[in-house]
Amino acid sequence: MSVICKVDNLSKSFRTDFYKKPIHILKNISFKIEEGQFVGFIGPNGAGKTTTIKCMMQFIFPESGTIQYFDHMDIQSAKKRIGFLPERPYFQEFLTGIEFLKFHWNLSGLPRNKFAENAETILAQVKLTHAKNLKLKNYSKGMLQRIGIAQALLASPDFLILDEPMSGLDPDGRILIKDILKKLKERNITVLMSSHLLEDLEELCEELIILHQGETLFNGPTIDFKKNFDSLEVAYAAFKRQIGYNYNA
Amino acid sequence: MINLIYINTQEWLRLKFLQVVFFLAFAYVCLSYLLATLSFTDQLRIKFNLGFTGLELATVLVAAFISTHALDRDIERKTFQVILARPIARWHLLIGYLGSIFFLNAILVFFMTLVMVIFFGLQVDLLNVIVVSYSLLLKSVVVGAFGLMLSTLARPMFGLVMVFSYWAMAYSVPDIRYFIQKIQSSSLERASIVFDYIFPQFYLFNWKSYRDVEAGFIVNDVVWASLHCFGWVFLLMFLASVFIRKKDIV
Repeated sequence: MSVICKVDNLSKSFRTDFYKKPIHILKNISFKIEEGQFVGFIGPNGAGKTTTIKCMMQFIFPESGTIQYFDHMDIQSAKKRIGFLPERPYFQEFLTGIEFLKFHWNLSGLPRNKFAENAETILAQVKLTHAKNLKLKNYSKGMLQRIGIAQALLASPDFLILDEPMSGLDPDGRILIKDILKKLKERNITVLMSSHLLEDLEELCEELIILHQGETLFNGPTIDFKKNFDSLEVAYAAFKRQIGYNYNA
Repeated sequence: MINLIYINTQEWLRLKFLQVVFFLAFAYVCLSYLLATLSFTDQLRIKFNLGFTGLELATVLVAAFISTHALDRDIERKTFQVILARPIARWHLLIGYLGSIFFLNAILVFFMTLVMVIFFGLQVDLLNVIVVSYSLLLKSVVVGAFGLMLSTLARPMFGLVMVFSYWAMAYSVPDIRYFIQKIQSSSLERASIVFDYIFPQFYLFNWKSYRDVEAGFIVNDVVWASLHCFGWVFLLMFLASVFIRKKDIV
């Protein structure tokens, strides 16, 4: 299997004010994602998941370390093959679903004559065909999340990065998103998904990356991580206790 | 880039703040009409002087507000991240903002000039009125470019204050030089020369008066004003694109 993304010794620190000492958010993070893997990105708030994703998308620049895509492809070229959805973004609510997709299609520089056909297929995948002419301001939170996934899928990416795609959704919304993600998994699309919902990750992911205080604590198959436990949640709690985390403190 | 300009223009047009500015600008033109009726001899002078001042204030307000807030707003709402995930360069987004500032102000200038011409009557050369409006549009784009450059470095409110100071300085260099000459300080005189290089020279084409509309314009002056503004916009956007290149989008 070819390596889709390889992160090596990534470090990043931020200053909250210019006179304060920098806080180390990422401390030599390393992991790799291979073709076709569905990888779960787990860690408590502030562990560095979103910062790692931002480094991977080159929104922020690491102090040290490297990120490689598709066998040494530069990030700008790799972006043509990457789909991305941040956590709870704002979409231009005056656009209709189809106009929103067209905007992103044009930004990607894809051939205009192929938009209609592609958009219909993707809207069907995210179950939004009925709402394509509805303005985004009339979409529910779940529908907005699905149109967000649709924009990420628009350019037929080989690698999809989703930052907490199920955060804040009701049970129906979660089920719908999970269905979409399962279909992506069947199509062998490589996915990196950060989430706090261990139950969903257990169902979807065959690989896990666990971050804690800016360090990679685990990177391997889900099955190895939870081999002596009934569920991922129980395994995760036991793992955290093992590294000294006290849930009763 | 055209897509970004189109979407940004649509987005800002829907903003209440901008609608209020548009309304106040038109109210100001109407007020200048009412004020002019108090005079028997200088009606046109009052109408045009006040009307053009209102137009400049409105365009600068629009340019300053959008340019200093656009980037911060899009980063906060994560729209910037969704767009930046596409294979486009960061400076394309800045051009998207500047383009939307240009179009919004072009709409404002067009309608206010139209209102002025309809309200005040066609007693002056229409081409001269258009030249004045065009110069105001150019100045607003320079102000917008400066605001965008600042937005890559500073917070919006600080940027807003700096943009208004920059705009005021672009008119005030001769006045400052005059006072420096009175003080007779050679070091300050050298500083006043530097001001001419770090601020655009808006005072050289400050045409927003009835006197200029009546006198008309030389083509060379209009070309010089255009090139001067384009040069500043290019320089400021170049600096903005350098600053944003390595900016952390947190």
